[in-house]
Amino acid sequence: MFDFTEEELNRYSRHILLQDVGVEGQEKIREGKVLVIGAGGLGAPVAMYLAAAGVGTIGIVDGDVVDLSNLQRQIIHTTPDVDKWKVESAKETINAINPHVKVNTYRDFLVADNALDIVKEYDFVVDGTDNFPVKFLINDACVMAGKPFSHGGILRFEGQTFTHVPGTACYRCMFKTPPPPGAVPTCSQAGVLGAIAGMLGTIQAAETLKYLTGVGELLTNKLLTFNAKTMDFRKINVKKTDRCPICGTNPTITELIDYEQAACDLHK
Amino acid sequence: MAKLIVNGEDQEVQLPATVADLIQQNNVAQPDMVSVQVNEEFVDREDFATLQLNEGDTVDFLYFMGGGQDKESIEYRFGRLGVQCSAGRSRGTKTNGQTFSTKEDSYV
Ligand SMILES: [Zn+2]
Repeated sequence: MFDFTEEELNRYSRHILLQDVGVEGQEKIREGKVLVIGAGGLGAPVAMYLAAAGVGTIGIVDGDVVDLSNLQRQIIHTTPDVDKWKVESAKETINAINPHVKVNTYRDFLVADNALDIVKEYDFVVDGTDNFPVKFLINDACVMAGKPFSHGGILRFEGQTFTHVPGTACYRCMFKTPPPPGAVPTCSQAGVLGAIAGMLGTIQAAETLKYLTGVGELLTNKLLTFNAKTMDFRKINVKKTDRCPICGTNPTITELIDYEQAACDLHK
Repeated sequence: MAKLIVNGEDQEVQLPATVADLIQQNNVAQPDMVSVQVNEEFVDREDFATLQLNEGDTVDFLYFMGGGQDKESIEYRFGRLGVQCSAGRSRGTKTNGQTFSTKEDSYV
């Protein structure tokens, strides 16, 4: 009943051996459509592990090109990829890891105008972005579209992540609005230990595979934080808030917002 | 002194103390940016200065954390959109996103 080829059965044998996954779980992974937003430090390990795992369709959104300074942690890109579009470089790596994966590339940044159209095509969304306006945009678009997603953030030696499925706490339940531009540093300003991106990205990839296969308990209503200096991991219980401006009982946000534009004037 | 659990660890605190007092005592770096839960309920920022803490309360400070996309993408994006920053930050441009044409597989 499952039309896996011998090559596929061999390729995915360590999944299939897992009692919780098996051929049925592998079929769910193959049917899965996952959108990875940002082909950077977090998106790189996420996309690579999802490709290796055999996720049937992976969408990648990124409007940037590979810079030499990315290679310290964005392991989906290699030295010859410098100056290539990140989505193109990522697609090549994914194809090399697993030619069974269909890759959709969106060579653009996620904005209010395109977010819902892209997100609606997928079963699960992974936030691998580094800036708060887009993190809020991903949250809002996924809540509006009823899509589950994995949130991830890293800085210096620390990381934090949670998983949202409809009805559980969202980013705005925890943080109502983005910080003012420049108030909170990003990795490009404050630095990050490259391996931290791998630590957090692989957690996000594992959450994605758990969601697709239905195995285990997701990081819903929980914020997982860690500090690699001490290797302290902590799960903070969080609750969906009735007063949340997007998923609460009287939502005040009914349209997607481009926060940068709120701070700036448009010039033709 | 009363015992509170702050970020998962026991902390001795002199009561009475408000959420704002505790933020100050813990030297929270950007107090106007921190999110606070008391007994696993989020506290509105407007209530930080008035909400009194009690013996045994569990308090969590949640901080913004960026991510791993990198490259000064905000600047880059502004360049792409032809946007220039100005001093003010009040007007919001809202759209409901129906105009995007996807670029699936256009960069093989
Ligand atoms: Zn919410």
